[in-house]
Amino acid sequence: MIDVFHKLDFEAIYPAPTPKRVAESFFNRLWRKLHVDNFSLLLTFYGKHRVGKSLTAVDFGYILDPTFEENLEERVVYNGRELIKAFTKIKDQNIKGGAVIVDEAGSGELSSQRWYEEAAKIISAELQAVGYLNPFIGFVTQNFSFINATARRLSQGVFEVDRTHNEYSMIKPFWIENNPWTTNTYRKYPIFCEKRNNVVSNVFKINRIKIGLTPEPLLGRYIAHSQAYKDSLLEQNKQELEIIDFQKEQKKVFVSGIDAIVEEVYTNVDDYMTETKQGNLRINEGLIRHRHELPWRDSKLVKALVEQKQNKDSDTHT
Amino acid sequence: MSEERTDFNLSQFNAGDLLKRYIVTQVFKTLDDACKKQETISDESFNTSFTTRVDMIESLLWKYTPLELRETIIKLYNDLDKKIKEIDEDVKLSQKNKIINKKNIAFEYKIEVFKLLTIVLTNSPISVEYAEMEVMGDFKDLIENIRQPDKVKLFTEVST
Repeated sequence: MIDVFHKLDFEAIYPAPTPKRVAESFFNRLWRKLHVDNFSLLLTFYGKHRVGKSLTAVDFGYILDPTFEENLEERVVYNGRELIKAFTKIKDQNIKGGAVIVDEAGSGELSSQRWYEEAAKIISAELQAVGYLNPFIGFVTQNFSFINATARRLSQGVFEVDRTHNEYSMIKPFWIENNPWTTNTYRKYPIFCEKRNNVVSNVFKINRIKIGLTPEPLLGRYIAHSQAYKDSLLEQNKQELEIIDFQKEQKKVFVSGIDAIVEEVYTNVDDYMTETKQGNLRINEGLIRHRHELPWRDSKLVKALVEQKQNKDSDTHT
Repeated sequence: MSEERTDFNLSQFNAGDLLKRYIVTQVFKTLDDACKKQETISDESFNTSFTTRVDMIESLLWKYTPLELRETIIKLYNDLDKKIKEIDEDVKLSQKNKIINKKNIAFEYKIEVFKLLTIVLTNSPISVEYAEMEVMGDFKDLIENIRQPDKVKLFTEVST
């Protein structure tokens, strides 16, 4: 009986790539894209609240850009001004492959959708300005649909972040491909197909990235930085509520002001009367406007209210 | 009439890779059919439909067969040649029995070659596997290994 099959060590002939090695190959590809092939890199990280998408984006920045760690507070941005500032600094310092993380700002000064529209405009412009430095830009959003079509087309990769454990997040990586003939975009897993011993081995699709907690002290610094932003958001919301209250109060004062004017005009109605060509007397809104410094709209309103009051009075007398 | 076998346990392949699935299905189906027909192709030859088709599949996959397996397959063929020669030189056997013996021994060897080829098939670019990657700890090792202009390959290159 021939039995070569069971004597062969297939694991030695076809070793399975270790998850660590896959990570090294994958990140080396990204690094080479920025530093060897001279491309820019725009990735989008999306997922539910608290799954770790911002931290994942920070991890990517930390892994790919040696200057990211020391400039973390300037590179994780929450609004357009900070974004331009980060790019300006990258340009001034001539940093190649500088990472900037555009963190979600849905509750900030603009709505989520408008924020990403703004960001897309700024990024498009900045890419022209600092494109030669091949920056890495990471978008972070809760929902990929928040990002408008232009920004979506800018993204080269989309990473779907999820978390079932406190120690790590799970990411599904997708590359975005454009079909220029139909203007459609589609996504596909990163693929590795390599030669081993001069023979092409099978195709490996990377369908999951397990990424651990951001190392200290980066984690602490990011938390402090994002907390400062969240605190400023709270303060901003508080101020907005105060403005709303103030406006309500103003409205009340204004309403009572109109009522007082109506009362005044009604009591001294003769002072506001003028004679028409036909010899009839009528309330003149021009006089109301002049004496009480009201806009035309409000003086007409006062006249209408006074006339209504007079009509009511005449009804009760009859 | 027996039912035609269509499921060859191909669930490992991505539903999107229909062409690849089709090729692999055809390879297995061809062999399955061939195994049912074990008669020799002529009175003079000991080759059957099965052995011929193993040869065909071998030529299809040779490009993707790694050196270790190529050597093993070549060794199997050398052994087979030796056995065939021994049978030919055996004066006690009739011509008819010689062919029967050769057919049996060829089947045994070819089935072994076929088993090796199935491994090649499932590890060739025709097939797709999913791989997971892991980044844990302080990322220091990873950073050190990735920031280099040379490509980091999934497998360490072995010189041949």
